[in-house]
Amino acid sequence: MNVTSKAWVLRGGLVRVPLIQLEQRTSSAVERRPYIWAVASGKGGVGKSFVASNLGMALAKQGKKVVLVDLDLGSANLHTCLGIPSPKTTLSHIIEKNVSNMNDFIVYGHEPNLGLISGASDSLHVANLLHYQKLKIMRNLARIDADYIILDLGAGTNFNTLDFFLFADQGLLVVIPEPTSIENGYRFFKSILTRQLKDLPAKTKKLINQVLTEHKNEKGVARSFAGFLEDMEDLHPAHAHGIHKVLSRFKLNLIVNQVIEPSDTKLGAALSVMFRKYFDTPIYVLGYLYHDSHVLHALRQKQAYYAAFPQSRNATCLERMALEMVEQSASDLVDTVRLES
Amino acid sequence: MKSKHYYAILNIEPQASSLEVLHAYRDMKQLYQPDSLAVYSLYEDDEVAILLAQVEEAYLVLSDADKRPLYDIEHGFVSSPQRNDEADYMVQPPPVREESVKIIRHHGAKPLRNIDVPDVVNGAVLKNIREMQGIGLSDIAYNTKISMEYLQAIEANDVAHFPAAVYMKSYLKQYAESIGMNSQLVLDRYEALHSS
Ligand SMILES: Nc1ncnc2c1ncn2[C@@H]1O[C@H](COP(=O)(O)OP(=O)(O)O)[C@@H](O)[C@H]1O
Ligand SMILES: [Mg+2]
Repeated sequence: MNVTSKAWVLRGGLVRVPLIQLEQRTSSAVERRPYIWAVASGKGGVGKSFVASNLGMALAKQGKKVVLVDLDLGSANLHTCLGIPSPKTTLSHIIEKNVSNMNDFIVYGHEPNLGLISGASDSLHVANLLHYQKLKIMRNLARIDADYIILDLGAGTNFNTLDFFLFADQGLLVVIPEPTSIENGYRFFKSILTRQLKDLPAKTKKLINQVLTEHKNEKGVARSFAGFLEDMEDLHPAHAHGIHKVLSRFKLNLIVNQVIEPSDTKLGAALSVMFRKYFDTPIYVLGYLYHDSHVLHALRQKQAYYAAFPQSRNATCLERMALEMVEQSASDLVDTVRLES
Repeated sequence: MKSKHYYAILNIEPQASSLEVLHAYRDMKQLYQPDSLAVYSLYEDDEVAILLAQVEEAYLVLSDADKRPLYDIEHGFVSSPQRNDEADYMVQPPPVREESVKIIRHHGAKPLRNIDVPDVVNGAVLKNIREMQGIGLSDIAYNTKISMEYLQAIEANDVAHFPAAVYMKSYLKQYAESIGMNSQLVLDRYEALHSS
């Protein structure tokens, strides 16, 4: 197959270049560093750890070197999803003992390409991480020897969780077809939006907060953040421009987990339309995963689901999504190369 | 506001084919159902009702082969010959020469009066310019008292249909005037009158 002749246009008009070309370019143009995906949800128990661990597994099976990092400090259980016994060294040891090389603290299960830095600990909660500790973790993440790092973030919208999400190259939001999950998913995005717009003038911030939290309809008009932005373009073009710039930097992806009804499979597309319409922000639908009672079987057998049920339809979904992740990462890196050269 | 355009409301491009309009309508209607998860917590019920009404309104116009070109002209959108999938149209407009399309787009949202006459004029060009303005053949027939039969013959380049060339010229002049074109130039450039 002649891959080099293929290039195609991706969202935002960016040109996607095939992997082979990418590898030639990156090796010469930029230093190798892991590409970081952050998995978040707003609501707990929707399957973040399930998604993170099994996407990691699928990527590893495709020959990628992957390290999962459990940042759900306080209720870390990523090791369980992977069938790895509770690791002795965890993130909190690393922080407390002033370790500089995280690579020594990666633990492995059956899959040699898939490592884990566990967050299991009673002593630490992510919300309580001090600023310098957070920065230290971030610095060390970038030095991990891997193709991909997947951050499993905890539920909720505390600043540290938001900052790790914003730190990553790509953000992945997991929802399930339930009103509470959708509500928390939107709340999570609103939180990262406000976090990212923290440098705007106080008056504008207050307005944004009102739009995001109250959205009362005035004069028969349904309010939205996108509508607010349009008004801003006339009133304060400079601020509107700044916000658009922030929005355009987000690299958001979506997975609908625990799909049961056939109609649930369309939820991702519907949410993506609402992100465009309400927030003026694109979110890429990576795919969906079915609710499957075998997830529980795999847990009981202390095995990763993807490894235990490679023939399941979810395994097919995971493989497809892993391929998408590779493509997206590649196109993003090509853009970085272009910017830096 | 740009988000209030019918195309934005249905979440489609102005080039969308009529089939795409239909699909978009169904999807957007689904999106704004009362039990829709995707709007949950973003909008109140009464706001969702407004959004749904906007979808209906947009569909009413964009699904109408007469109203849509008119809407496009009024709002400066690309004219129908550029649509994604002409085959989707039940009544397919005849192919139009580049020049006339450019003229129509050039005039944008303003009412199309004193339209530049392309170097080559034929029935298809005239019909297209007429339709872009939302003028029906029957409107012209009503105003000029020319029978539909002859108006159709003008748009079909069917010179032989007229008892004599002088009739055709007279009708063509009136036709041209009623769609805002310089009648003398149209007469000079109407292909079928000069080819035989
Ligand atoms: N697709 C699925 N089918 C069946 N059970 C699932 C699925 N995804 C997650 N679960 C189960 O739901 C529970 C919560 O998942 P988990 O990944 O721990 O969520 P989170 O990390 O978001 O808190 C776990 O018991 C997990 O096994
Ligand atoms: Mg978890």
